[in-house]
Amino acid sequence: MTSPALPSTSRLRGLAATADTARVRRSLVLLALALTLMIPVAVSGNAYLTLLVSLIAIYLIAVTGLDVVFGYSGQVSLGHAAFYGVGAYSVAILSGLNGWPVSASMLVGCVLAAGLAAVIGWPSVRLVHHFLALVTIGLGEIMRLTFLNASDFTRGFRGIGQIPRPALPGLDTSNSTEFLYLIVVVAIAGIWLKENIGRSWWGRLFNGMRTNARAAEAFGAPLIRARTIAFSVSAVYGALAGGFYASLISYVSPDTFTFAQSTLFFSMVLIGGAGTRFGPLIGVILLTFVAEFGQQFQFGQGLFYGLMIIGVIMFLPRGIVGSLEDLYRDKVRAPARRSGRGVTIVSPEAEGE
Amino acid sequence: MSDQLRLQVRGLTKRFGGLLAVNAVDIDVRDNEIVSIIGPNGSGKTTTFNLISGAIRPDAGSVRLEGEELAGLRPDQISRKGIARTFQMPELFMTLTVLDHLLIGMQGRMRAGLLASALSLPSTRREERAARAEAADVLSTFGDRLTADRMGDLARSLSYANRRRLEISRALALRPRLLLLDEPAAGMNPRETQDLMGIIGGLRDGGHTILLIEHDMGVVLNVSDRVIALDHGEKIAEGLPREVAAHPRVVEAYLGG
Repeated sequence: MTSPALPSTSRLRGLAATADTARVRRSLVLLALALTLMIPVAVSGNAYLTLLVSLIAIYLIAVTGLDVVFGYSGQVSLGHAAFYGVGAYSVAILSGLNGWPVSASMLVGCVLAAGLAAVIGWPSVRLVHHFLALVTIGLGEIMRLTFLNASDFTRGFRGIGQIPRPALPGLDTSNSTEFLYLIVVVAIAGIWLKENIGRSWWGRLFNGMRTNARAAEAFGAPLIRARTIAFSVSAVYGALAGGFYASLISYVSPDTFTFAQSTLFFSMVLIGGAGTRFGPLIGVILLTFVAEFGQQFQFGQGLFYGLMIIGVIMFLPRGIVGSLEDLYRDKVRAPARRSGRGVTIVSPEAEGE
Repeated sequence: MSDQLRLQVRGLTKRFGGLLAVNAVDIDVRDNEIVSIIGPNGSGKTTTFNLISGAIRPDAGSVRLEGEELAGLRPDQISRKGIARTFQMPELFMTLTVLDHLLIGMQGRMRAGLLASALSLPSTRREERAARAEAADVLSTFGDRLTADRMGDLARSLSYANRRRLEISRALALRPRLLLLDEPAAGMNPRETQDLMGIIGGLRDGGHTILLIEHDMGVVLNVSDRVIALDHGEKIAEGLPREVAAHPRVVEAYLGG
């Protein structure tokens, strides 16, 4: 098979990669996956840690979706908690109050969230920058007030309890470790799907619009439709995460789906590194721990949190992972190429087939 | 119509407030020819391009590509009909790679659905591989300037001349039925300009149909099949390159103005 040798498009891959390093990288990915799958067992003796890792994995699902709309397509969304809430309340109402299977209510939540995003997105994505951000803040507030005031369905401020967990053959989700396994697998699948989108022409469509909307439109990007699609994709991730959250905590109330929750999601993308593979993961872990351990210092937490965001925006504008990628590109790869040492021909095999 | 035109523009008009930027301009481009629009700065050349490509909407007039009316469509729709353009000031995706630009140029032809792409189905990967192979092929239009490991370079790291070449390559990747080139040689040195004009002539010989804007008349005289001169938004001359260059109104527009 002699397919032409082509360099990769994505940032880190395609740099100094040969078929050999591709094989090494694939082994590393498998190793990382294996280690990740050991985490639920490793923390199984500790109920608190199991809960914390479950939350991290759920946040990771939500934040991965947010990265599609912000990291790829470049739209600031500060209302992600709205979709998180739609997913959570779908499971709470349909399964908690009406006995539906959890997987069915999660599916309904995802469809509702995608529809909501499409209906809100279609007129709003014509706005740029902070105007779109304002609309998403409004959406978040509207949904929180809906959860609070549509008390016939949502039980208002009292919330809904006794939400069941999804039933899967061969998996006892009432066992927190086994449930954590399910969440981790879904999160990994979510990241895999996002990465595939990023590598496909859809990812380039979104990236093109973010980088230069005028040029993207001149080359066939239907801006409004494509931005609405990106927004809807992020909503599906948000709703899925919300469904798992409701199932995990077994209780939902409007207090969870606040602007603060939305900004937390957004900060996770921003600090970890928007549009990168591991950015959302790093952002979620970092901010979850900051939130958890910062609880001891009542005032210090907000201060530390604020300083961290300012610091990232000033010194690491592409987030932690994005800035590391830039550093690698400029300090390692570029000098290597100038001196002729780097090899940048990538076999198609290295394209993550 | 037996001898249908590739591009037929009739009565194209655009007003910006009180300024008549383009006034009742007619343009014909036949299959497989290079037509150049020349004129001093502010004569309405780029506005004409923006009207044809849909970046701005005409107030009046008709734009037909192989008989199909395009006036009033959005830029993305017009590009999907087969019109590709370059910009006077390069409009690249600065943080994306050379290869990405070519693949974005092809996006109007990509068929994989969002779900199929997310699942990375075999059909999706096949389409992607074919697109990458074609991209490498298109990039070889400019010899080895943009090929091999340059394909992984970010647009922002390219030289000015290579940015211009990348703009043209991206447009070629669309497999255009009509190629609009807005001052493709701007900012290039005489030698690079000469090479570029050779390549543009080669594109025509390879079957492309090209409408070209150039401020500097001398640059396009040799490569153009026909030349249209604009001044103050109106067509003042049209014909063979030498005829237009010698036309009294053209001489006056360039010297007087």
